[in-house]
Amino acid sequence: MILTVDPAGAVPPYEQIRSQVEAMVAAGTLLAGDRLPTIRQLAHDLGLATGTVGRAYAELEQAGLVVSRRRVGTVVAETSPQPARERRRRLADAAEAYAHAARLLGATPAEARDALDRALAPAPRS
Amino acid sequence: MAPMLGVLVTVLAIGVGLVARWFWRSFRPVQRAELEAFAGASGLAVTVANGPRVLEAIARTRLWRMVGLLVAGSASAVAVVVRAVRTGVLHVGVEIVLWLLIGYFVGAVLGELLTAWSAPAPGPRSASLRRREVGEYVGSWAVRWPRLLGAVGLVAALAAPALGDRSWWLPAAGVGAAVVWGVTVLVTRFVLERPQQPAAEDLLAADDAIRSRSLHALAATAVGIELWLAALAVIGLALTLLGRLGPDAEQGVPPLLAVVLVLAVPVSAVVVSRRLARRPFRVVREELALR
Repeated sequence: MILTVDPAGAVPPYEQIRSQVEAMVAAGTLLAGDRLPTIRQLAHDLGLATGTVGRAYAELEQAGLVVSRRRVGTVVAETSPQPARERRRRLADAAEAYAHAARLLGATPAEARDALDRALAPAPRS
Repeated sequence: MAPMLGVLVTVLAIGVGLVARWFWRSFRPVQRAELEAFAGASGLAVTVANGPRVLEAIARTRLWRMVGLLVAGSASAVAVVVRAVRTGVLHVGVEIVLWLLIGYFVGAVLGELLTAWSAPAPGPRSASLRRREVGEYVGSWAVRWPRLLGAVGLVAALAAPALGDRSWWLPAAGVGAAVVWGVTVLVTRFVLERPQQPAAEDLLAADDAIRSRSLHALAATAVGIELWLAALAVIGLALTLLGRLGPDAEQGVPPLLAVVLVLAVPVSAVVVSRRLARRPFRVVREELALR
């Protein structure tokens, strides 16, 4: 669960934080009930102003991805219908990109499915 | 007058000796034994990379704690001498130990607040989304004991006037315990929220160990001070309840209670504080380590 922010990037830092947390929730890296760091902790760790992190948290809360509770802090929301939709959309986009790459390589649907199955198979433990 | 002068000179000599010893210990280079004690208590493997960081932390925290001790010790010694000269009575009370504990605590707090943060390097920066919790760095006692003792002190301070107590020290002791609790909560949060970036495993372990030992020292000293103050407030409240507190309260204090007040409470405060501060604790947190 490492977050990376480039303050000199074209995308504002608060948006970089928001989009990465959203992606982690969508991917299941962050689960419902997980506590996020305090605004001050994350701001200090990233060397950003607390207002920047506060804005990212506020937007995540508005989107229903996280909730802020007194004494508990900011936690990932129990129900998050928007991320589920977002997750399906992203998965469809990724599948489309893969299908396009397979067509360019001249692979048959069976070959493409076989390659995908192999890629999805759990990696053996070292 | 001559015997009193002799005692005064002896007390002064002991005070000056202690101050000189603390002063010397504050500024000397960190000794190998100190580093080994730190590493042993936190289960840290000291490496070439993290060694300088640990040495700097030991030197900084030790300096500020000793400065607090020095200021409190010097002020107490001056107060004793001034009072002796004014009244002709030399009184060296155990409350000096309480002032030393408070001085040490204030020094420890300043040592944490004045820690320099390195400016973030240009370019992308990384951070963990895992929240740093007190329990990862110090046992649950560091939260529970200061809270319990602070609450006890506060209740005693609020109850005393309601029960007809007119002394100033009882509410002051209770409120003092609560204030120390509040300061401990704030400084603990400050230490936890200090920046931490992903780094090599040994550097990260050193950073965790430094936070852990700082929190141990702060919480342990707070427990010692609060234990003393809360005990004073509770004993005072008990006396009030027994109807013994008044103009002739000192004559009314039972001998056993007097012994508890004078010896057991201060000794317990210091012993508990030292034991908690040196309690071994290893931080287990490896997700930020860059392998």
